Amino acid sequence: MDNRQITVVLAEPSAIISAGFASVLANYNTFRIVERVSDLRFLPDVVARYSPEIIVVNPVLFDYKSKFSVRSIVSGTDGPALAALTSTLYDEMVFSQFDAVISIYDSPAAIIKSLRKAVDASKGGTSRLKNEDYDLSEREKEILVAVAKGKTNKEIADEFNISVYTVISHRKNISQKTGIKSIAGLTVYAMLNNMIDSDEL
Amino acid sequence: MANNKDMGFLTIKHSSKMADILDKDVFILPLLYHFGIDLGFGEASVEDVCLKYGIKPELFITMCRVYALKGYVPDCSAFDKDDLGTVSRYIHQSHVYYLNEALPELDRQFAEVLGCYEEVHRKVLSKFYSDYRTEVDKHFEYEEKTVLPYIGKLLAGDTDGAYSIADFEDNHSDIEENLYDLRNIIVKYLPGDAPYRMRYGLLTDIIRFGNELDKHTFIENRILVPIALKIEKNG
Repeated sequence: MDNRQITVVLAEPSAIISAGFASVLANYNTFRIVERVSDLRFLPDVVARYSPEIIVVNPVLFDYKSKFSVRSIVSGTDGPALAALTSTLYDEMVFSQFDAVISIYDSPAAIIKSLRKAVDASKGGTSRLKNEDYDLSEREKEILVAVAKGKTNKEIADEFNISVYTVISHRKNISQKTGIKSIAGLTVYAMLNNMIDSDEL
Repeated sequence: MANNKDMGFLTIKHSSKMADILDKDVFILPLLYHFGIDLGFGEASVEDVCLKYGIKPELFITMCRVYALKGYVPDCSAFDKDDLGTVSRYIHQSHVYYLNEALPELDRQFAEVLGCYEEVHRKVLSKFYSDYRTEVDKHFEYEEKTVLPYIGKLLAGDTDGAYSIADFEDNHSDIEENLYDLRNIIVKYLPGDAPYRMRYGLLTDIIRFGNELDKHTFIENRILVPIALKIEKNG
């Protein structure tokens, strides 16, 4: 169990929602709200002072019709994760700027899950911009070829002398990087990228 | 603050004009199409149009919201046998459209694009697509031959207890994954042998079909199944 607490800054103009959110988080030791702001003006200072791992913002604070980007508040490549806390539905375009979207109608468990996901997703923050997290590693390419050839996880684990769990983990990363989930799709990918000959299938 | 479109859809009334709703979000067009609602309804209200086509307005409005609002969760507690019949009709008509119009068109476009590639790539892509098509056909066939007739029996009070809508829920396979993979392949990895316009055309249609299918599946899982479950329980 990770005993370290994850620091949170909350930007929410409604006193009621702010108190409610804090109360939900208070039941879970993992998260600690270090500061709450009701206006965006205070956010940069607070972020600089506390370096929180996650900022929870109500998109209502932004006039999204302007080109104002949420991320402009948070500079730096290894910035905190950004989660939206919303009481209503917005455009894809608004939500796409966030690492997670939380509705005030979500259950406490769902809220915590979303927060965790957001923090995990933004971790190794610099990798968001570096190519190593986009391009497949050599190992991943080898695994991909094995999958495309129709080998089972167990066969692949034996071939590369790794555990089945590692194989699964590699496959998850491969799917995430390429955007391709099915084995058939990965086969096409391997063919198109000349990683495999047609007679090997 | 709140998107105008969302508020518009959340406050549709029976007296709202059908044309105005279309104005708010053109994405509900397929819904109207599957219901066989002919255009040219002038100033008619939602209620008028629904009455004409044997649809209850509450259900219609709910389905509009599913089409227009991402993440909308429908409340089916007030829906009854009539509504189940209507949804069943919508599902069937969607299948007819997919099998007779949308998919053949995708087939044609895909074949045209593939024709531009060397044999090696063509074979692999062709296999991928035809495997997908087979899965889709199986999926729809199951719904047409097993699920919809069962719904018919359920509505007539004529079930034998051998099959339950819960079985459908279990068997409802995910055909969306392969389509999404195909989309990513075209966007990211397909070489430029086929002309620009052709690849964009294919991609656009795949995306549109995928989105439509998503809504269709959502309605099956979140409207058809819950109402059927309720009727199975209470009769």
